[in-house]
Amino acid sequence: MKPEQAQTSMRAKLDEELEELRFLKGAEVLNRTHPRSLPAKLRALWNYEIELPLIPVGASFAVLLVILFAAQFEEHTDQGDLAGDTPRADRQLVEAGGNTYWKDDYEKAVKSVEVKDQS
Amino acid sequence: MKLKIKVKHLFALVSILCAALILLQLFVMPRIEVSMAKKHFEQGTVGGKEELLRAIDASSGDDKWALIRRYMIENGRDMSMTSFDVIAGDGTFQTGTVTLFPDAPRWTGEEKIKYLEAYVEGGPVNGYLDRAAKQLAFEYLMLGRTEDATRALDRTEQRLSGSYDNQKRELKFTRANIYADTNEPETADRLLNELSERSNRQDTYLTDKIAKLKARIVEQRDDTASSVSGTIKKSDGTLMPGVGVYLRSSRDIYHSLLDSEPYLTLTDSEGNFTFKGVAPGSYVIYIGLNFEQIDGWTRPANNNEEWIDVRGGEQLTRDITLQRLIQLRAPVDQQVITGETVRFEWEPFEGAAYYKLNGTFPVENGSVGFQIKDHIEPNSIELPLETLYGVATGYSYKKFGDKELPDPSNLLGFADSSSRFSWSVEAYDAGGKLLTRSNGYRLNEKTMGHLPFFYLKARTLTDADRLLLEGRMDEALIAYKADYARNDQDHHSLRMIVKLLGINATDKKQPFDAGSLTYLEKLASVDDSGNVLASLIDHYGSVGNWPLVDQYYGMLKDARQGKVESYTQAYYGTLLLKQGRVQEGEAQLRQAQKNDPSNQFIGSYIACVLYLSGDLDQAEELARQYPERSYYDKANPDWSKLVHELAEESRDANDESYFLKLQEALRVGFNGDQARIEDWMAASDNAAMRAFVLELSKVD
Repeated sequence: MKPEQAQTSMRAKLDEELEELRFLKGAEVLNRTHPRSLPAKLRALWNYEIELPLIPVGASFAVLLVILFAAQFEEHTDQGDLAGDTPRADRQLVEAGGNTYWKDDYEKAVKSVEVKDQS
Repeated sequence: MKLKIKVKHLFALVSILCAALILLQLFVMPRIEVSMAKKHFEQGTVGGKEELLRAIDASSGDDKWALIRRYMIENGRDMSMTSFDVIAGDGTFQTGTVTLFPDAPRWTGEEKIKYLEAYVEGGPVNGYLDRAAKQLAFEYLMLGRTEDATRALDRTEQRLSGSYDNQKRELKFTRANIYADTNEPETADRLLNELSERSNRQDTYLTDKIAKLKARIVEQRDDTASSVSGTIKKSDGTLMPGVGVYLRSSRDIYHSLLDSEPYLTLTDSEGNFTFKGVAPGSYVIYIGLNFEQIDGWTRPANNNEEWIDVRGGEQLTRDITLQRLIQLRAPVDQQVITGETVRFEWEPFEGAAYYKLNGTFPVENGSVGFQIKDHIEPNSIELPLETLYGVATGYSYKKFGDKELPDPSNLLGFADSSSRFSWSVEAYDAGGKLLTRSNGYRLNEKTMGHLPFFYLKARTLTDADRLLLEGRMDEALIAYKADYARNDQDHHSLRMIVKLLGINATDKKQPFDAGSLTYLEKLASVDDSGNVLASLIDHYGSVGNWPLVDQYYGMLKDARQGKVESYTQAYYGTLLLKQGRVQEGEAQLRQAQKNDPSNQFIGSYIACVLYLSGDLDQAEELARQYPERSYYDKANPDWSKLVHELAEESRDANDESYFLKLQEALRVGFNGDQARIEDWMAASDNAAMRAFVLELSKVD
């Protein structure tokens, strides 16, 4: 059997088998694939499937998070700078050589003169 | 790699993320921020205070009040006049702040006022409200805003409902107290009367306080009572409002400042203070300052030089001016000195007639101070190391095993090349009044200046020094003696021998024997500081060897260029009296009295005047002018009363021989021999004379 003949016979067979089935929602399908009205257009958009490249999107999300965190952090360090000169009481007083110093300032000063001595 | 997703699912995802973020910002973050702020504040982290303030600002309702309560009110001072960072007395500086969060930063007056005002207006009515009001009033008073203070107290009293009756009374009392302090006794009286009318009899504490304040108001209104007033400022003209001012009796100054002492106040907006109705007595003004106020400044006052003698009916003024600390120039910052001299140099102070150079040695819990040289006119001096080695130093005690021994490093003094020394200067005017000093509170980079430390590394320690440093004192003494025997030019060993013998004499009660005295006398002949001479005068005075007392006193006078310390001069005066050389003794005591603000020898001086002139009026005047202070709870003799009684007795006796009897009595008193005094006391029938002689024999 020639291929054309085989095709025709298969076609005939299929037609015969599908004779009972009728596709009635052609209009609906058409409306979906080629929407004409606004709600239909919107619904199409709503259900539109997009393909997102995972790496660029993930990377930009990560960058965004980092920026957000950095902004928060910066806010905090700014305050720190402003408060740098105000007296802090996490400090202890120390009496040395007849003077009263803040302990941390005093230790820093002693260290700095010792460094100077060595150099 | 790609991800397939429908637009609607993507939208849902973004929406969820946004909602989560909003929830986080609105509800979770504030709580985190508050708890972080609390933590940072309590730990004293940089910026912790600002964080907490923002947290308070951001919160509202009960959360806000709870924060203010916990971090301001619970930690604040409730109208306590004495809770300042530094209490500066006559040469003493006491630091003390005890707080709930020791590491937390401190609130400034403005910060506290802002939040306490809000609390007093809108905070919940409970037991904290009256504390908030009192603290707010105190902050206002510190700024000299008296009216705001009383208004806040009044307003809070109105807000408190019936069940807080005690608190309402407390607030009214506080208000009365402020009115009494600010010279509105009528208003104070009215408030106190209101309190008394509705007083709860069981509240004896408040009843007692009301009675005391009423008594004080009566004293204040008494125009014949004395007052003490003045102004506190800085030498650059800065006004000092809200400074604590305490007029402290000589009977109180030996203990730390208490809120129960009678004369406590704050300066007004211009730095003025007034104490009215001050009872007669001797007083010293102490002041309470914050670190910011004392940083880089000092209150120039020396022990015993700030006495205010209130006799009755006077209006006394005493101004206090804080002065800048002197900056040191050299040797500083742990400079190591290996040469034969040290050049001390400091910044000159305008108006200074001379300077006093002091040294300090570190000891276990602080430092020991001593004088290196007095009466230095320029703002620098070059001293040979030998002079420094010969400086008389005090000493503290150090533990060696289970024994406490004088700290060997202190005994070696500047000769201990392993020790780090420090120094300071004081500036005086021509009248000998302290102008300012170099040591004090140096709490920021600008005021810190150079560190006053230096090392002397010119000499190496001897074996005897090492024995001493190990605490083997007796062996060290033997070694020093051996060293000196080998080389009689070894002044260091000689000085150490004398120091160790001196310790044996005082600590072990082993008086100097002939052998020891030889060392003292040898040192006296080579050491031009004159430091050993006082020990020799003391020794020969106690054994009655008058020619040697005279000889060593003469040497001391030369060494001090005529300016002998008032104590030694007065002591020499009493030794002269003992010998019956009353005229000479009077001259020494008169001169010593001029330089001795403690008036501890005034009894002997008055006795001389009486003996020589018999002038009871003059003696009584002297006694009034120079009252002997009573220290601690010890009641010191009231010489003016004793002399007054003598005067009365002499009038009653109306007898020419009374003066002769008095002279005889004074001779007995001058001599000081206990047995002789007892015999005389038993024989005499003049009570006032007996009382006078008894006190005279105790003068020292």
